[in-house]
Amino acid sequence: MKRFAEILIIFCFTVFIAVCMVFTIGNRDEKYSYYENRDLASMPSAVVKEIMDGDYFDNLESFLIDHSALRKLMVKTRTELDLDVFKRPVVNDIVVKGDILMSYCDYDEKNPKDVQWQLNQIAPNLKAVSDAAASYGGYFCYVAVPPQFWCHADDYPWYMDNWSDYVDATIPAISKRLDSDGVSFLDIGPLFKADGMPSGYSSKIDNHYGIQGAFRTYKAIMEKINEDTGSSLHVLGDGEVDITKVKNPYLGAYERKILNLRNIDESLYKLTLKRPVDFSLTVNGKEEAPRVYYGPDESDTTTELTYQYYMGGDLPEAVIDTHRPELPSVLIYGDSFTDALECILYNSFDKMYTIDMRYYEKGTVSEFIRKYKPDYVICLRDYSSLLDSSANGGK
Amino acid sequence: MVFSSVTFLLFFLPCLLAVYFIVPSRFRKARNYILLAFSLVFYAFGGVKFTALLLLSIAINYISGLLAAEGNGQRVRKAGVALAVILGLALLGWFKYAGFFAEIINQVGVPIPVPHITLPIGISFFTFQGLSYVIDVYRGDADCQRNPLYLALYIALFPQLVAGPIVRYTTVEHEITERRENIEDFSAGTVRFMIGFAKKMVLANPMGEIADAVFGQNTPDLTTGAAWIAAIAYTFQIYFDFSSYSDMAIGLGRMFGFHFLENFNYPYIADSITDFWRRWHISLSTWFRDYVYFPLGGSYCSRAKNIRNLSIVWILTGMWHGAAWNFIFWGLWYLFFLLMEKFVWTSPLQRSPAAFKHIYTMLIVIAGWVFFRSPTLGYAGKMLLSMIGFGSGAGGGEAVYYLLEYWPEWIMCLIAIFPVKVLIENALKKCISTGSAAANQLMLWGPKIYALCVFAVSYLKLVTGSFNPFIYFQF
Repeated sequence: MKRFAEILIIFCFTVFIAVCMVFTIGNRDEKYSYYENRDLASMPSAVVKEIMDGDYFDNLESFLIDHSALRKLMVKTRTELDLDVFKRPVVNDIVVKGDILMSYCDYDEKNPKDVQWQLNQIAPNLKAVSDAAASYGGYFCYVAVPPQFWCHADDYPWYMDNWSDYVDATIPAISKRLDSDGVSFLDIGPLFKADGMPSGYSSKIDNHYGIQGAFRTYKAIMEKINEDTGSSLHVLGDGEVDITKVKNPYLGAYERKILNLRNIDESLYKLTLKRPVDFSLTVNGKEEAPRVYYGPDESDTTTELTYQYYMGGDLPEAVIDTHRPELPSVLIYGDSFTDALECILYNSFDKMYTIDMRYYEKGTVSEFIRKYKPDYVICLRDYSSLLDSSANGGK
Repeated sequence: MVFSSVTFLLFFLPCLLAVYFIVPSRFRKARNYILLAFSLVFYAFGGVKFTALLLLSIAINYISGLLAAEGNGQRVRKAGVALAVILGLALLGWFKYAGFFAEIINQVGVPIPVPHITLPIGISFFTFQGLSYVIDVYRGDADCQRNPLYLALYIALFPQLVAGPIVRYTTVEHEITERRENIEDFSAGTVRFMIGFAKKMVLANPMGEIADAVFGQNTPDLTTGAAWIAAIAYTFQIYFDFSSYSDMAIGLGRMFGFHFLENFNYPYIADSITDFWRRWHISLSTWFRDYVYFPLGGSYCSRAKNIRNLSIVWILTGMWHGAAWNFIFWGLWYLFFLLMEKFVWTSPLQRSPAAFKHIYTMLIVIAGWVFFRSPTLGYAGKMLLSMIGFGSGAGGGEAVYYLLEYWPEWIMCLIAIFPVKVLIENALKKCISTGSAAANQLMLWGPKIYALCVFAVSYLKLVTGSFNPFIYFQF
């Protein structure tokens, strides 16, 4: 019996590692992880320098881990264990509280004491962009939108950071600084609060607002433009639009992180004009079928949709031309909160340019502005990245 | 390459096992050369260029061993030892300490360029291992190994190459040529490896996440609660990380017929600092004892010389762990308490209640780990001040988060620091001696089933996580 037990353990161990080796090799062609929303590591190229330094083998390990046998099953099992057995407060960086999924706010990431330093980095960039617009009589406004962690700050457990101290330090500081620099600033958060934070202003399963929140933001921006510039741009009213529920299931970013194991019911909505505006669409210099909502055929109501439903997600560069030269043009740039807003904003302008400096590589924002001379320039960022001077916070 | 990686677990190890065991055992040389080749490939994964350094170290020790061997004149033998010590420590000194000393020289006002040298993995381990071989040959404790490939196998043997234990040549001298791999050893080695693997993935890594998160914060923001959580988390991390590696090394060695000595003996149940150092990193402390402390005279000399000898050993112990002032301070920290226990409070400590002794020991050890983990001495000081209430508040929130988020790991760590396995084994042996068949079966199957279960959990952690640094690689 002792010998049998010893042989059995050896057999189990060696067969396990051998079989997993085979399955890992078999998985090597997989390219994308849906629930992780990322490309899997690719097989590293055998570059002599990297082999000599050891970097090649580090990259090889990353590739093998991403393609290791049973990985998908293990990820799902671990997430289920963490959610349902161990009931960890944070699973895959998501705070699970009843039917709300929120992002984990790292204790060390947003320190109110860093606000002044960060402000000193970004303020000159914003001034430069504002000056670039002003050089031909254009207008620039920096718009701050509240992300989910701010809208649901009170839903975080008492012991967890919700970055409210950071936001409370950031907003007054940036408002004051931009005011003294002569740069227009608009904070959407108080407007959301004043409206009572209705459904669609924030999400239970994603960082972004819904189309309802984007619409409120649109109205605030248009009113701000009119107020600051003395313009009389038409602002779409509630009676001019239809906001309809998209039948397809919505997979929010936070739901995705926990592999949709909570399956919280929330839908995407789309906003259409009762009198639609025709337009042409150019994406990264190539003309495409004109659309702002990227979903499957209407007959397909089962395919899961993500926030990329709006404008197809973060595009390096896109232009919507409504062929109404009597109207002004607008450039909107910023992080992903612009996506839903763009679906509405183009209706009020002749041309809407949109760039995302995280992916746009043809130059700086100021260079773009000087080249295309949009009448209005809007930079839209959420509270967590408001002081980030990289990419969309650049000049 | 680390043991807890997909590369090692699913590719290196199965290939090695297949190639090694396909060769009949009577072809001992072939098996040894296969093991050597795989060991060099193992090391090359950290960077092929560093393999040249390993081979150089092996060559130095081989030639030195030939010179130090019996049969040569005494001057030649001494020259052999001197060669090994000077060249071996010169290599170690250059790669590990050149930058540190250059910074010190700059700080005293002499401007010299500070070299930024990549530290080869495991250099402290294989340097000490090679030195021990040459010194043992000189002392006559071991025969000179004339086959350079066998000496290379001893020094480069992959289970203990990069993070110990520091294996004495005398431990494996005969096993290099005369070992017999068998099912019992392979089975026991497999179980040991799987349990070590679990310690690393299930206990050490999560504790490391906590420690890294808090130790990465600016000290003015450290709260008392978070500081304590981080210090205790690191105390767990370093023990389970290092002891897991030793477990895996011992287990792997056993699969191939080698029997390495134990490197840890439940250090966190120690009742004094002296006791702690008999249980922690035993291969290193005994190395310093045998090759530095005893040759200096040990304790068989005047008190002043004894203190001098201890001071040298503990400064070197601190420096061995890292080229930074906080490591040297860490060594001096233990020197102080060891001297106190030896010369000042020997009797009071022995007479103290057991609980007091354990708490006293653990507080000193935890504080020591704060010095060890902190990036600078200043950071360590501020961390310790935070721990005694001089931080940015009590900070219950963050501490509570880490306790709730990692509650299974905290419980398992608290259990695993105790010799639960030994207690269970003793209880089962008692039952077996009374004829209990159930106890017999439990003794037979229990460890194996347990090892398989924890290994499955560890594999899950491996393929779903990416946080996987081994601490002792930096030595």
